[in-house]
Amino acid sequence: MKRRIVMRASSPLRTRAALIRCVVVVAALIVWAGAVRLGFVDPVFVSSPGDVGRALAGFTRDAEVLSALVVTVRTILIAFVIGTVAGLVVGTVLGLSRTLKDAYMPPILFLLSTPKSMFLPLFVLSFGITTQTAIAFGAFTVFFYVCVNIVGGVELVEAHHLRLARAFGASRLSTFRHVVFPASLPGFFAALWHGMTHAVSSILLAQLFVAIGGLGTLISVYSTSLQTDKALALTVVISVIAVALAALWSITERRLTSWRANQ
Amino acid sequence: MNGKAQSTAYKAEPSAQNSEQGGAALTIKGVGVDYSTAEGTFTAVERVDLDIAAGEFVSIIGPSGCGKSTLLHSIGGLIPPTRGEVEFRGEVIGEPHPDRAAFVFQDYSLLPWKTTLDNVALGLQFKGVSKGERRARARDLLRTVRLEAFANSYPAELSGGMQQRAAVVRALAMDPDILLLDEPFGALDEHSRRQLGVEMAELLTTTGKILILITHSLDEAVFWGDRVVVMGASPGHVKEVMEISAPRPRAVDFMLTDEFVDARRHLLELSRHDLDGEPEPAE
Amino acid sequence: MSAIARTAGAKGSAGFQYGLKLWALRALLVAIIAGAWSYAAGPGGVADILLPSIPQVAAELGSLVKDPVIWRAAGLTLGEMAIAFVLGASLGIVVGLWAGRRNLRARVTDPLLAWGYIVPSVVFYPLFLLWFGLGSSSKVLYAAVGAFFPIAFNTIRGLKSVDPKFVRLGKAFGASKRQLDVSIKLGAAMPMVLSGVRIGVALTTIAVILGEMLAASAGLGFELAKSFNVLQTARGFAVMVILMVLVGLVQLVANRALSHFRH
Ligand SMILES: Nc1ncnc2c1ncn2[C@@H]1O[C@H](COP(=O)(O)OP(=O)(O)OP(=O)(O)O)[C@@H](O)[C@H]1O
Ligand SMILES: [Mg+2]
Repeated sequence: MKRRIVMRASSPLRTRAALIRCVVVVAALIVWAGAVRLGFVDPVFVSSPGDVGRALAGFTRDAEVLSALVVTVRTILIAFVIGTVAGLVVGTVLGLSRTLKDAYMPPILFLLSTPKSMFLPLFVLSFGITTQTAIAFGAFTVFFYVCVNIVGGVELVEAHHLRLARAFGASRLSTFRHVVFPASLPGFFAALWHGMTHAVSSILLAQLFVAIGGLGTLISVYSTSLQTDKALALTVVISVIAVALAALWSITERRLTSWRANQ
Repeated sequence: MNGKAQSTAYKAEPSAQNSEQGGAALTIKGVGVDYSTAEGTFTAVERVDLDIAAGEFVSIIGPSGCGKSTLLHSIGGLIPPTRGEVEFRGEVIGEPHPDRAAFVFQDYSLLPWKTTLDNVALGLQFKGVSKGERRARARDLLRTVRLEAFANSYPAELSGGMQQRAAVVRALAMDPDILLLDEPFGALDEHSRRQLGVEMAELLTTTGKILILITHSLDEAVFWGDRVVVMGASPGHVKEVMEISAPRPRAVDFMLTDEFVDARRHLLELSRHDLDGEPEPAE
Repeated sequence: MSAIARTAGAKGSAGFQYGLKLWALRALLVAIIAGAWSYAAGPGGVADILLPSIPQVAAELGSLVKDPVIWRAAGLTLGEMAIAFVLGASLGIVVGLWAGRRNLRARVTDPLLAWGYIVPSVVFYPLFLLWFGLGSSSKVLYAAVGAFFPIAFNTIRGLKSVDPKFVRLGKAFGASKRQLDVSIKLGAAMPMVLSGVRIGVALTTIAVILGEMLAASAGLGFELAKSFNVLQTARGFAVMVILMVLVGLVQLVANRALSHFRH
């Protein structure tokens, strides 16, 4: 297609949307602050934007919070690595054998769709009130998402490209290098992404469920002790990190896939 | 209404003489369409003047991308012309009005989530006709094109030709004064398009409506048209309007007559000239 | 959750023998797990309160399904899920339709909804507890929020990506603005909306069970967590089985209901 219709004034529209979005967020903050000031809501339960801001600033000097952050990040990474490796191995095996895939994918997909939190008490039973519980539960959750996405990726290779490679008489090595590997990359990226997001949420969940330390435990402590400003500030920190990571990831993925397209 | 429509002069100026009743029912007055694109404005249709009488069948041919669909959409009010205007019975066509002009689109455009029956009844639904009545009417229409067995099938389950027939009766359901047909048989093979054409012919040409048909087939253009409008590209314009005087409806034998053969040869020369002389816009 | 891949179909072509083979493979896995379990609980010497034997769990399950307490708990859990889903889905669709109607609105809201979907929602649950108490309302609202985001997000995305030829068709056949929205745009966006709804159903079940497990006074999730907490492990396993069946049924019903819509 040579010509495309111009989304007339496309970038002004985007800036306008971003501006309006800022206005909406600021307005919400003002309403919140106003409601607290005018006594419509109880600051003990909802805190106020000012207090949350101060709590946020205080975190930078708060050893408790900083060490909880470190613990949480470390736990997430360990669980992610273990779960991803297991998911990669099982996913590749299942992906390459149609029989195994047909036999075991339905139960795996069912387990994937059940709330994983149901199994959390089992991990507590096995590992006690320790960080290992969180690691094991996180790895367990990550495993399913990685496995399913890897299988999906390998499936794509099979469907579209292998026949083509065979038709052009490619050797086994070059088939892998030029066909299997690049074609299964999207599934691999998807696996990493879903593995990471579920590592984060399952570790936070485990830390909420059992008091083993980390950000999850801290939020639970703050909110039950009515330190609402700190609880809210922590959710803000976690949300911002999550959104930033997602943005970073989508940029990286675009880079990587465009590299792929250029090969 | 199968008598020969009063012929209009080639390159008719939007003249006073035939703008009253008995003359042109549909007047295309200096219509031009620009698109705004990433590279600025692009003139798809430069200027087209055409008077069409009631009951007339006009074929439009021309190279791909010369603005045929654009012109048709303008006639139906879907794309407001950048220049000039389209009048029907003295009224300017400003926006689409399916009672006045109904479309059969180049790509059929059946809604994939509606059954064939409900697709045919779509215009009636928008008009507010009750469900029972519009379905009954749609069913009758489907029968005329032998699709009654597929009333409850979804478009994806129909062949290209079947989808095409459904799209044609969807337009007919509006009982419009003007039928705008954009390559209705375009996606079909030679055999089916001939067969479909013969089937559709009766349905379409005995209604007394104005018919405007875009086609790539010179045979089709000459066989059906009271006039054949030949368009040229970059930017879209009318190169020639050719009259085919044989009365309609025409039997298949018409294709063996001198008039048909001569007209066809003339069009072929025009389009060959087209290929040599005017480079098509690059894709 | 978009990770859920589809298993390769075409089982019919493979024939009866192949089906037998698949079931044999599954039976093998079940046998291995059951064997390991029996060994650990029996000769392995793992204590009953850590790992009850299979017959113990079966017996517990048998008595649980006759226990009105469990039925009441299941009723409560299902009720919470249903109300949460209806709340979240209707709000999501209404907001999605409202925002999807105008380009600017869609651009303003799209990222906000995406963020709401990306942040790990677990960390907000303690706040819901704080605001709405231990009872059902905290679970219902928490789960409703969980269902809201993907449904609203997908509705907007669906409306944004409607093929212009369908809009053109609607205009050509005399659709009013409202008819264009309802009959054409919503119809074309339906596949996206439905996939949002499907995700919404999954998130509702996850959120309700999670909420009940973390802090509640009734419901199946509560029964599950309580059983393990007081070391009635066999009962905990039995509740887990019941929960899995329940989740499976919910998904089955949801899929049936959703497949009534075309696409
Ligand atoms: N929405 C649009 N925006 C910008 N340019 C367009 C648009 N629609 C069509 N064009 C351009 O206008 C010209 C005419 O298009 P049109 O669809 O009317 O051609 P056509 O004669 O119907 O071609 P075909 O025989 O292939 O259907 C083409 O060059 C096309 O690229
Ligand atoms: Mg065209």
